[in-house]
Amino acid sequence: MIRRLLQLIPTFLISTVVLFAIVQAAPGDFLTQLSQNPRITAERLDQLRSIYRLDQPVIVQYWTWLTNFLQGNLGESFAANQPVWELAAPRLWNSLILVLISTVLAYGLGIAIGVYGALRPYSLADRLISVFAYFGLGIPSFFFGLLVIFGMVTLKQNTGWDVPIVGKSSGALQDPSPLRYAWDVFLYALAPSIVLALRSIAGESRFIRGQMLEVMGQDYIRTARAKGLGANKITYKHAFRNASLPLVASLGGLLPALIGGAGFIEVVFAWPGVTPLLLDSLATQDLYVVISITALSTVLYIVGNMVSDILLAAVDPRIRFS
Amino acid sequence: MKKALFVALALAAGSAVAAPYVHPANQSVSKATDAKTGGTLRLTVAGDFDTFNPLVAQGRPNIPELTDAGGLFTVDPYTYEYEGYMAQSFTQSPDKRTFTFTLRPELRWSDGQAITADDFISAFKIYAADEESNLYSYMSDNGKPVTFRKLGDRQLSITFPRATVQNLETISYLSPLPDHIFGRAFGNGGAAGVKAVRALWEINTDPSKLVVSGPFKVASYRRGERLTLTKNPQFGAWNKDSAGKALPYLDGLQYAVVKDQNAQLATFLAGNSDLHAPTNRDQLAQIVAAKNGGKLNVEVLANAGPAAAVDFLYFNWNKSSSPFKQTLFRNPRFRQAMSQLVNREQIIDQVLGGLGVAAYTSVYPLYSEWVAPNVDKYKFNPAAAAKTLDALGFTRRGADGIRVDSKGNRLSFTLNTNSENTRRQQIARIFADEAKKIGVEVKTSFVPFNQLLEVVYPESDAAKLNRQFDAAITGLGGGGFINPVGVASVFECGGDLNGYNQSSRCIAPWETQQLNLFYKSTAEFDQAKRRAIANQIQRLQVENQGLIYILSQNSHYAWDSKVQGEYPKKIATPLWASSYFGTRNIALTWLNR
Repeated sequence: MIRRLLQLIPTFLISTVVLFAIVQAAPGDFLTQLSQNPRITAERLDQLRSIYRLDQPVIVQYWTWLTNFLQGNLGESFAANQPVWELAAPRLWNSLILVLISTVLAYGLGIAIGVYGALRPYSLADRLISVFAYFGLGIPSFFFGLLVIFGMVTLKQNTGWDVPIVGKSSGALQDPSPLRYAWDVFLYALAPSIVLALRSIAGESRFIRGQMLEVMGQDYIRTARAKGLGANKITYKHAFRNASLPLVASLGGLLPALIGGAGFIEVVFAWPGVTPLLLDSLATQDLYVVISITALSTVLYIVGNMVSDILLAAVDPRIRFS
Repeated sequence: MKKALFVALALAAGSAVAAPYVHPANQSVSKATDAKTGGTLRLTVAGDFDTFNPLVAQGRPNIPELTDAGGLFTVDPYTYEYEGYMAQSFTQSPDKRTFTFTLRPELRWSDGQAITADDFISAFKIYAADEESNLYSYMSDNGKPVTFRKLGDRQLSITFPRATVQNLETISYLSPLPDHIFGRAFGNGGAAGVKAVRALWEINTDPSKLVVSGPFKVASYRRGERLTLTKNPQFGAWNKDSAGKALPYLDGLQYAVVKDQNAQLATFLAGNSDLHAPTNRDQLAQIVAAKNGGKLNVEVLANAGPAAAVDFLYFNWNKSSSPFKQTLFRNPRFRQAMSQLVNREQIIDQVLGGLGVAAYTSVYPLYSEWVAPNVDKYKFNPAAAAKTLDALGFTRRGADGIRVDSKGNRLSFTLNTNSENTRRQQIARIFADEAKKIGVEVKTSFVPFNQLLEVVYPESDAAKLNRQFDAAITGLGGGGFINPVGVASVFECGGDLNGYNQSSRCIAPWETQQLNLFYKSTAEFDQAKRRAIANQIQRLQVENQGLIYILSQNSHYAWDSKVQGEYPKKIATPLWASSYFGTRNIALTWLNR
């Protein structure tokens, strides 16, 4: 365990150095765009460069960032003129909402569909589910998101129904109660969460179906059947439990997703999550926002992998973690 | 004694003749008597807001800008003349450097305190001390400070180091800060004072503590979701419509934060926002289709006019590594021929779907009244271009069909532009196709914007004399309208935005002439005379083609039919349109519910 934690250090250092080098290797810096503004003089740019400490050598910049980061200070955003954490925290929270709803949907529906398919393999329903699953895996989610928005706009134009289309909440609500507000946000989060979950549902259900089919064909299940155990007990206590081991292990992988956000879906649905912030920061070369958020997700990725291992050891008696 | 003081005060108050600013009737298509009050206008904004503090605010739009009334001056969009806004009256000294203002007696902050000379004076002090404030650079000219004096509670003067027409523009940007908050925090100034004022009004501040001058004040802000502004009743005390009614008409504004352009369009198409400015042909087409299909009750103003931006092509005059190219690129006849290979009409048709205007000089086509006559002297004419190239000695053609001169130099160069901009890339390709037809090889190369800037505007003096590119297409946007012929940094030899010549010495005599004429124009207060000088500058540009201007894109606006009070057609141009409210003044906007 301690060895794993120690391994974290070089991994973190190497990944952040590489990250820093890549961001710095891109031509220009945060101020380059400003230099095209006729109202800003060259002297002013030099001044700003020294205020933002962009005139320092890259190594000095990295060292300053690293020491601050280790003390819990993620640095300042040039563009927003405020600490990165203050900028990122509400975005992380927003992303979390989408990730959580879609994860619950993905696992809930994915498992149900997968188990159903495994119990009735090659039936008509199973085949239909397979076809839909391949569609789900094949269509890029941002494109599917655009289709959904188009559908909702058409619906609104033709029926006048107050469909929550993009954004995080409705403007018509004036000073809502916390509960009413949470419900509003949930409604707005639903469409992007479903789009987001669709791909995972397809993936998870295929996965569970395959695992279940494999487990169901094994000797101990046949033995259990021969002993006259009930079908439900066999399915859920013995088969499903074993089939779901890899699924439990993959839960740790969710950690970086919590901070990575829901990706382009957030952009498409104008959901104020982490991805739009990260994209903006990349475009403006807002150094510390990019580096700090990415470094955070690196840490979570490493921790997530550890958690996966531990979980696997916990649910699978054959694996021991020493 | 007390009584004497009272009498003196009463006399002073009596001299303050009530003089609210009356918003001219000719700036709205609605009759003032038709306008209804109340209602909330719903808008979208592309990004989160970062601060309530006007000194810290950077991006556009920002909250301080949306809640700010403006400055001492405003502009008549019909005559382009500056007139008093917060200033009831003003005078200009004979040397044209000092302006003296008398403020309107009704001016009030949103907390009810009077806006006085102190609010301006402490704002100027803070702007001049805070290097990071947006207005810092306006508080000095060529290293010399702008000075200001309080002459009374409602009187102040501003003295500029030089008499230039830009000073008028500068005054219109200078807005007051509440002295009872910012002035108090600033104290005796210095670094501590700057730090104290910058620490005021962070984004987590209770909005009710904010003090603003504009028509609306902040009611609430939920990050990533929505900014809600509500009417500032104090604004109506000094802003009246032509019928004498207090402004604004609206109760409030609501900005939904919607980053993605498609999502913004979807919001408008779903009827969830009231104003939208389509940025391209596709967006415009979708709105028009929804309107024509009866799905959406909106008004569309397509092609309101060209935007305040232009694309241009230029050749590198500082290429000591290739004497052949350097000499060629410095030859005005070569550049005239190249201008004749830019098929501006075809480019506008194919690239912009016809939604653009050809450009020939540094004056954006938007300022049509400032564009000199007959500037399209070197418009598309491949035959004439071929003739010129023959005359320059490129008479033979190589096996590949490319022209060669008597010394065997091929007529071939690389044209760069930025990889993020598909419009410029298409322009480059169309240009290359036309060039090839008459035996000129143009290779195109697309690199990221920042990389291109580093190549075109290198840092070191040595690199400036040997820049590593042949030709490039970039553009310019923004700038003022008081002297729209351009800015010094484009005209100066080695200027920050001079694409063709980055060496600090002028190479061709016309460069010096152009610069001198420009300086002359900035010191000319008579608009007609300033235009005459601008015409001279444009004639030099057309003959010499330092920058080969190509086109401006058109702007479009759409709004829900219930939104009323837009500008009359004559001034409903992108020049007077605002990026947030479209072709309308927000104070005169009303909802027909």
